[in-house]
Amino acid sequence: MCLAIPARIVELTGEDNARVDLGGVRKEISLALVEGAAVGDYVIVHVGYALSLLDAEEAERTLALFAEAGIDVAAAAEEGAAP
Amino acid sequence: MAGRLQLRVGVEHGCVRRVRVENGRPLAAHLLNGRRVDEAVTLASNLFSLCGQAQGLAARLAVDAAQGLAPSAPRSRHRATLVELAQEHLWRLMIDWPQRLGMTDRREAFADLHRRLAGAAEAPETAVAGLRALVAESGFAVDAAMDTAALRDACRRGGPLGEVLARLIDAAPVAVECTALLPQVGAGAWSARLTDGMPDAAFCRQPVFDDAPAETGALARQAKVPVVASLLAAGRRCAARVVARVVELARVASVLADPAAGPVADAASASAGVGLACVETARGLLMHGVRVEAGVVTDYRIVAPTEWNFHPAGVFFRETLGLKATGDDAARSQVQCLALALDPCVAWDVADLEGEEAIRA
Repeated sequence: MCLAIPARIVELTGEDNARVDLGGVRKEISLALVEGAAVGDYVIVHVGYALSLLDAEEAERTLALFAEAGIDVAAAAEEGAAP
Repeated sequence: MAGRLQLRVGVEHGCVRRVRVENGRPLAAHLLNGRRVDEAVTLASNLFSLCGQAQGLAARLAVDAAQGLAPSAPRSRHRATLVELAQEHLWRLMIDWPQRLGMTDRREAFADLHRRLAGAAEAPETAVAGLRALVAESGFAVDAAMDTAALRDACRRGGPLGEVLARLIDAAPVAVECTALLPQVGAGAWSARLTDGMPDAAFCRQPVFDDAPAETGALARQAKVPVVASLLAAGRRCAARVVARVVELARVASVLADPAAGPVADAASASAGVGLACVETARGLLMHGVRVEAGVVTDYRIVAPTEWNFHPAGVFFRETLGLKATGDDAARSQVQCLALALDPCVAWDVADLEGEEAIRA
């Protein structure tokens, strides 16, 4: 089970792409699978795609839970890419 | 985080002589211990990216059963779980398999169909039409029993998806060893099989059925469908796994088209305070076991499909060991096909064994 790390959209970079912040790591991802995503929204990212939009409060709760469990969000996000 | 699944092989003269499966996936279920049941259900669905709907449904069913309550998950949750399963199948069929086989992936068509499925609660007919159009591209009828050559020809006459399947039928390994397919027994039977009606830590890491590893997933669910059964009979288990996913997309379309379709998951309770839920996901059986005392979770266990299929002596291990190809690189490529067909739910890689193990290979 791939852990769902909430990523915050920091910039829309055109053509359905965006830059997100994942625990301090910046990544370019595709927004092709979600509709209406805007800067400041949280999304769940998998292999370069935003899979779903998250409620900000829920996202922050999940991030707090990972922090509480000692899970390094940035490292977990790096592991999220399947070959 | 050490969450990667490492698949290590020793290849010699085009034959895989040694295999080691290292599953470093962390067991995250303990994060739910000490939570109130409603909080645990929400967290379960938020913790995991690829199967959040299934996790949320399993958690709700398990805590309801533990508390002696009737299942309270709405029909929409069951349908959303099915949509999630279909979206995962699309990803493999339209993106991952074309890439693996050196073909062009279908990002735009995939994104369009993925979004249609995401909107299936409001507009099921759009999602159903999209799924049916994709399934038609396979070129075969699921009720047709065909030999491999006839199936390959049918796929070639289909469309872009058929092209992928035809190429896969040629490229995928033919199995030497078979692993039992996990039967669909339901939560009641599982509850009776497990000590105290709950999976223990050993079962969560290395689940077994009748004391042996078993394969879970689309193949196990659709093995009796004629088009899948004919591939199985020819030993083409790897291709059968992918064709079984196409069969499931056709089934999902039928369920989404039927507003009265029943639940896709169930739960049972071995004793007061203990609940066990079974949900079928894209990758196979997802099991949640929970103990609840006074509305608080005291023990939470999750058994994910990857633990079945990548059991150290499970289906990946058995079908990889002894695999023969025209050369070492061809053998490695077939191992990659097998891993993708079994579809781990965490990041994975295939590499050669090193050091002493490689010498023994």
